[in-house]
Amino acid sequence: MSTAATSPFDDPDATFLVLVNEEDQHSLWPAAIAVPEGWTTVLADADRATCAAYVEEHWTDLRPRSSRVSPAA
Amino acid sequence: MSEAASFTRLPLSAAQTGIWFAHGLDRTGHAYTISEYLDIQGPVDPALFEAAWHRLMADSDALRVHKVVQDPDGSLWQCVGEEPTAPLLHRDLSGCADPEAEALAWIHRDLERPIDLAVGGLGAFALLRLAPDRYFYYARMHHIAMDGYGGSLVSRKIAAEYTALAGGAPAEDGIGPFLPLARLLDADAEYRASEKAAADREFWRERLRDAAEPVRLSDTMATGAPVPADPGAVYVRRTAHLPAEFTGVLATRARELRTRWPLLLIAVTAAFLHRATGRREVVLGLPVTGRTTPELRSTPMLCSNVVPLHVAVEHGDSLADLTPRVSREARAALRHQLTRYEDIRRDLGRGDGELGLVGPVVNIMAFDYELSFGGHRAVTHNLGLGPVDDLSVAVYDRGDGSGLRVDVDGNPDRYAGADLEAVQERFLHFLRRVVDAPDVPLDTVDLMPGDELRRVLHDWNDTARPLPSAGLAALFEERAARTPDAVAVTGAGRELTYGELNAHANVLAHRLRDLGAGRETPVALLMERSAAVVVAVLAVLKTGGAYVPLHPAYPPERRAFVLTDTGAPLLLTDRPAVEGLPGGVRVVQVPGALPERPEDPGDLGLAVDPDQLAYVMYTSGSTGTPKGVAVPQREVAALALDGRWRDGSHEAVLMHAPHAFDASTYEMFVPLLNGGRVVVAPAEITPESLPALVRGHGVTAAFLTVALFNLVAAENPAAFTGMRAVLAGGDAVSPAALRRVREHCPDVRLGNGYGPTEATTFATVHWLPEGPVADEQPIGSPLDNTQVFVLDAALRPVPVGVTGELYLAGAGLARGYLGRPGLTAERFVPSPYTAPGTRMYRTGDLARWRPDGTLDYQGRTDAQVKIRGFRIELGDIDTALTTCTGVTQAVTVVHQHGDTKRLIAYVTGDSGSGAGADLDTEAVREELGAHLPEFMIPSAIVPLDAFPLTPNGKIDRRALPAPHQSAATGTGRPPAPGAETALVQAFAHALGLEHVGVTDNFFDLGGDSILALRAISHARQAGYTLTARDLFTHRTPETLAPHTTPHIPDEPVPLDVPLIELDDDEFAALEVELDLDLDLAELALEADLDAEGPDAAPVEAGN
Repeated sequence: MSTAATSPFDDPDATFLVLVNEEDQHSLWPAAIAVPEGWTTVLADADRATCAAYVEEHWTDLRPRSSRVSPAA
Repeated sequence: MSEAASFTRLPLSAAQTGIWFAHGLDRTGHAYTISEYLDIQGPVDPALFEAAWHRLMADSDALRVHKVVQDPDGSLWQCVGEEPTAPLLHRDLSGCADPEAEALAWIHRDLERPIDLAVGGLGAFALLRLAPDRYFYYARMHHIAMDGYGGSLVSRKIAAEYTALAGGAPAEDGIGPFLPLARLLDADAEYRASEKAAADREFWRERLRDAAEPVRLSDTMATGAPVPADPGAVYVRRTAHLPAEFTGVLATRARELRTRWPLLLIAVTAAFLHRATGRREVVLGLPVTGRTTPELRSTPMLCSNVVPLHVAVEHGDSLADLTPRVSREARAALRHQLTRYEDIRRDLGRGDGELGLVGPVVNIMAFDYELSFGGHRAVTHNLGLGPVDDLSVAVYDRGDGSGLRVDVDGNPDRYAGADLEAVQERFLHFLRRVVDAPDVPLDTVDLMPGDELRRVLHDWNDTARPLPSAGLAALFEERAARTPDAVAVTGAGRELTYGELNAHANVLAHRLRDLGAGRETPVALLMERSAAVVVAVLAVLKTGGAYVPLHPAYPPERRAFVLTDTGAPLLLTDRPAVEGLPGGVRVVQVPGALPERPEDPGDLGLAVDPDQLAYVMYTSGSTGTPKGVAVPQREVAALALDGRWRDGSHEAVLMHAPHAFDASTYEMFVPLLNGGRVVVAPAEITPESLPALVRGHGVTAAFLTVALFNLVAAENPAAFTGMRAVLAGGDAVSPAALRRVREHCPDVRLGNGYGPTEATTFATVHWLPEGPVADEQPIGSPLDNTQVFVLDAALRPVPVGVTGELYLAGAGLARGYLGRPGLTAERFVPSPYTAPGTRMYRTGDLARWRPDGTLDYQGRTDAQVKIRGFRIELGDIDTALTTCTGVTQAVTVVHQHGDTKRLIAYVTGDSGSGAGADLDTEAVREELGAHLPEFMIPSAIVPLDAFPLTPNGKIDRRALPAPHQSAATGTGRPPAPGAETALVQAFAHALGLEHVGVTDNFFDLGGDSILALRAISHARQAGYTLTARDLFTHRTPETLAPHTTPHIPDEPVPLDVPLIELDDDEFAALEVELDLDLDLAELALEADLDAEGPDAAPVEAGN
């Protein structure tokens, strides 16, 4: 049953992008929707699984970039 | 049988057979009517009118169909008489105070008269005198004999006849002679046997092979929990008028786009449906005349049909892009319009009764509707085009320069009146926007006016409040330095001041640092709830580490999983020994009983970045693999320092949740960062032990899971006396429980908190206002610095009142799932509505805005189910159940048996322990009937003493007991041989049950219209004939048996009467017919398209 494919992120057949922000946070994004400000496309027009694999491979440190450097002691 | 002699018996067409079935199942008995009245604005000569009317009656066979009868062999016959079916009534209402109101009331009374097709009364006609120069001519015909197009022919004909009689000239109506019904029926049969028919069917098979399922607008635009305000209502209608100037704009725009305005309107409707549902492929129902020859076009009868119009909307499409596509689709559809809707559906194998072929029906009536009676203008008023499955948009152009009339009709089971107003308002808003700017991408056109958009995006999210930028340890140490002697932790036999607590934490922090704990080191905690837990948490934070609470009740495997997943090198525990640890974990014993007067080694004085993690908490998630939600310190501080807690209500907060549950975040940090006290509860709090805790330690505030809150409400509702604020959350709150507590503790502020672990305990909170407790409780508004968005599938905000997915942004957002970048990237997504580069969390929860800026929780996105084609929020049923007498909490689930889905509700009662068993579920069911439409009433209501709970105190749906089918069935008397036995078996077969008792009500057991037909067929195969109406009237085998007719199971029935032996295909057809959107009024689209000619066809860019 296609009960509630209301979320564009859950459409198994849709095309997705992988976006990255300045903090190096990665995100899945539906290709059909305009990319929000502050995000850069690093993988374009792929299926969901490919995007997930890309993220797993490239986003190895979930800490925001600004939080990775130790603050000055 | 002298009566029979005066009738000519004719078979039914395929379309008529469909209506016959649909009528048999229509409870109102009056839904399938084609009716209108003509407002004649001038004097009428009643005698001339009567003469004209008799000419009309004599001309049209269809108007003289007196009744439709079924022979014992099951065949159906329409009986055409010599005389009109009813006399023309004359009523003089001119003496009434308000003749128009009186006339309309008279008409509506007539429209609500149930009709028995086998008896007669298929037509009603009246000439109502409102004034010497104003008359209404009212005509009601049954849909089995007439369609909307036919109705318009009839109106034109009588106007022409009257005008001719009045002027002494022959009628100049441009309508050819009406053909005999028998000939048209022959033509119908001929077509159905023809190659053209086969080719038409093939066209649809091809066209729809890979087509998407249709989507109903009510799925996103109805406010849910529909209440059948008027069980007799056929549709809810809202009418709007568009000014003449707009008609001009529309026509101009249509010309520019090389089409006609009706097609442009259809394209706009498709675009609107796309925007409202987020679907890339939308399916509209296109009503067609089913009249492909001049003879058919000039004969009033039932011919009309609905065909699906599939429209694909690509990303970035504008109205200008969409229009030629719609035009091409419509043209192709019209060429194959004779294939019956039910045949298309059967060919697609869509026989499961779940979904129709089309979503909303769009009906553009572009022909001149103005009539003249002897020179006096008459305006037609349509009174109904039959029932509406989802929604029908009918646009009328009278061609008199008065602009367009837009009727939006909704299925009353799906839409409330206010929903339709909203749908209409948004549709018209959207229409103006896209017609004004046909080149703008549709995705960027909002469905709501600008001020509403501003409200939902900004005004209701205007939550900014300054927050200190410091780590949690520093914020606590600042408190400890300011008020070292204030009590920080109490209860559980030990009281610690801020100074003492800080000293204890420092001792442990130094030790942990020496063991290697530092920046974001995961440190696991396996401890029973005690003051020592608070010490351990603070100590970990002081080192810059992140604590990882392990639930003491979880099995060792799960513990090992968390330790491995986090890679925690340290485990703090109050247990003498911990077994089953993965290698490399160092166990640090911390005594549950803290030593007296610790030597304070001083704060570590580390600079902790507030973006460092505070903790990692594991949640189960739907997939079953636990995931570690990693929460930064800044977000914990944001929760703790929210203005809501700083009103004195949170001086002493009860800590009773398992510390592996994120309620503990609230329980510890709200008091500690605000100078209050944490009151540590003994192992478990109970309704009995709570008052002593509250009194003994001066507890002022607590957060309880709904299950625990309900338990306290049921067993000791005064237990909160003395407290200032009590929050419940985690599941939907029960209004009954809230009322009970309110009654016993009128001074306690009650609240409803909502928030996933990913948003740090609470994202929204609602404090109940004074006064009576409402049946539906919102989850409130966003916390400080938090934003909430309710978005559609295009990630655009949905209008107020419309359900969408809830997204959370701003303060409280977790960093993600520890070590799960892929999953994090799926759930924490870019936010288009907050600062550039920020994220939002998609909750998987459904919500809608209330007009006051608070949110209603609408269940999980995955908790929507479709039963008989209706999309149902199980949460709506739960909510309605909790308003029933005696019910505290309810959970509804779907039980599937074969392809039959049934709703099963589980309920607990409020009258103390063991309450479930005392509930009168029949009374509950009856009460529920007042709140919910029939398709939302659960097949079984199972009382429970208590719900099975997960370790965190939420309802464990997977642990609900299986429903006893036999529990729903009645007396033990065995069925009598013969009809009763056949019926018992037929019921059981249709319902997928093993046993049915003789006194069991078919509909109480989950029966519905579709299953009724299945039962009827099964009974017939066993040798007993009954009608759908019999089953609706007599609902148990016992009461139904005397109404059956025994017969010898017969040989295959001829094809033209596919009514008796119902094989699977025929079932499919019936289901189709029943689900058929019988909105069959006409559109002169075809003529329009023909007129356009091939040269005017839009040129498609090659691609």
